[in-house]
Amino acid sequence: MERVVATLYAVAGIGAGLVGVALLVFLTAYSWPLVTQGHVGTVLSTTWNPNAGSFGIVPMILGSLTIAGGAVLIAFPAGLGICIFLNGVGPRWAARPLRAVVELMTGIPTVLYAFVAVFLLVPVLRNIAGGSGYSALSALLVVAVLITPTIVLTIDGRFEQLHGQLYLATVALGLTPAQRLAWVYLPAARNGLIAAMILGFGRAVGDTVIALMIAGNATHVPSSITGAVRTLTSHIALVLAADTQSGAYYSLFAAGLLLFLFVLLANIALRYIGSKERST
Amino acid sequence: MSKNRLEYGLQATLGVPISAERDQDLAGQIRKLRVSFDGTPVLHQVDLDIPKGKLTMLLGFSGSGKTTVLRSLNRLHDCFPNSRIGGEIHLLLGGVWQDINGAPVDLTELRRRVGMVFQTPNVLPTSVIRNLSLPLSLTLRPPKSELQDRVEKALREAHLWNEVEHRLHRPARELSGGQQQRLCLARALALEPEILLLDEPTSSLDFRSTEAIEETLVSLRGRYTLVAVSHDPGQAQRLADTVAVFAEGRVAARCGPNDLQGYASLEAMIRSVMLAERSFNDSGL
Repeated sequence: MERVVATLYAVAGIGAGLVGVALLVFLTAYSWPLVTQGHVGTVLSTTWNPNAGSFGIVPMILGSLTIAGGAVLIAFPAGLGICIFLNGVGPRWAARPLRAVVELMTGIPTVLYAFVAVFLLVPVLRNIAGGSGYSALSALLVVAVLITPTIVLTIDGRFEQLHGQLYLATVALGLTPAQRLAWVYLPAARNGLIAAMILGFGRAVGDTVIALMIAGNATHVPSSITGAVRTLTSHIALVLAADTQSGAYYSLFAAGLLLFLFVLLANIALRYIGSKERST
Repeated sequence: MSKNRLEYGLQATLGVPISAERDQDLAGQIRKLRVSFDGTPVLHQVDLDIPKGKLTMLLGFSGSGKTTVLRSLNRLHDCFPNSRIGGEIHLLLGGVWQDINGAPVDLTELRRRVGMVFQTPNVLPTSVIRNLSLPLSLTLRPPKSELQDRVEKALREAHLWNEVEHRLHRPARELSGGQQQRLCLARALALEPEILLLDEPTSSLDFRSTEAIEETLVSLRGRYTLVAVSHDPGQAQRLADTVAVFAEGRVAARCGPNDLQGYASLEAMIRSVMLAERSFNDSGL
């Protein structure tokens, strides 16, 4: 019986690994003609104008990085603050429902965030910053809300681990909750904090619906945070919906490959952090 | 002989008077201590005197209530919202008697003065020196120039200095289990406690490490009031000045370490004590 279970696990593990490898092979193979036909320069340009033979996806790369980076910049401190509140600084009666809300947020469909933002956030930003309101700023604010639970739960998991090991010891030493968090938990959770940041970034860069619905989808290099941008994910969705034959279609594989590499790099970084943490 | 002494101890326990004037040789007096978790009583009306500068050993099986008594002395039960505690716990701290369970207490200061070492070593995930200097600088806040001396003094008191003086800046988790436990002891001593609580400090250690910890405790006796928990009568004989035997959330008997001789095991001793208690109750005294 044990052997059967072990075999099943092995098959599942190898299967999952093969899917990842297959994705990489597929995206590389379909992007390869861009290299052999000398179109790499075209794809890595800042102009997206398929009618003129320009398939530059640099604006979309910048759009993705602006939204994901901006979202992490907002969500990380917010998430850390929530974790600090949950782990001793905030009163118990408030911490418990707050944790439940954060857990609930992880299950809310992304489209609902975007849908609500179209009616609540976009008009406000339109009034404040001008323009249509559909912008990088709108999208990154909503993506920040989307990734905050990921960040909170990652850091909270690390805090919980430390709590089990050190809570009573630090209380018995006479440390206050704030001292315990600032001087013991936070330094010890350093790698967990970085992992939370990377996970949040991975989630943000992979989001499609929010960017598609409220980032504005302009295909030029963003000049301002209040301007419209298009991300790699929404670019793939939009082009794929309208085109299946042209050169633009094939440039999507390069976009997909880049997205895959972003996520792969984030995972490698996470694994590196994990191994470093285990060795200390 | 031993059994008679135990029976005498039992009678003495049941008749502990609540004195307004406390004995000068005492560092603590517990009266009618009751603790419950989620409504389930764990301690029932515990009375216990803690002699100053001596090692009081709380002996008993797991679940007999000895660790609960220990954690009452630094109000660690406050960390558990499901706990209820009643009764009086008077401790002599800074030359003043305080009922730490009745009057409002500065818990940070209480826990600094009543240090604690746990069953398993729980070093902070940082360097050896930082394990001592961090709590020290956060609670006692000594001048920076004194910090190093205080750290060294505490490590020497815990008989650890010679083993770690060349690796003070290495991670504390690189130390062996016994060294980590002595580091925890040094960390508690660095805060200059008056009472030191030791919750089965050798139960997770091998023979050599146990020996090292026991030697350290013997050297600390006299300078600190020690209250230790153990389930090992042999350890109580080696270390204790007085012994309180716990059974079913009560002090079943109090005795000296020599009174433990003649019992093959803790079980045999407690069975004897319980029998003595029953015959004492049956006699209607």
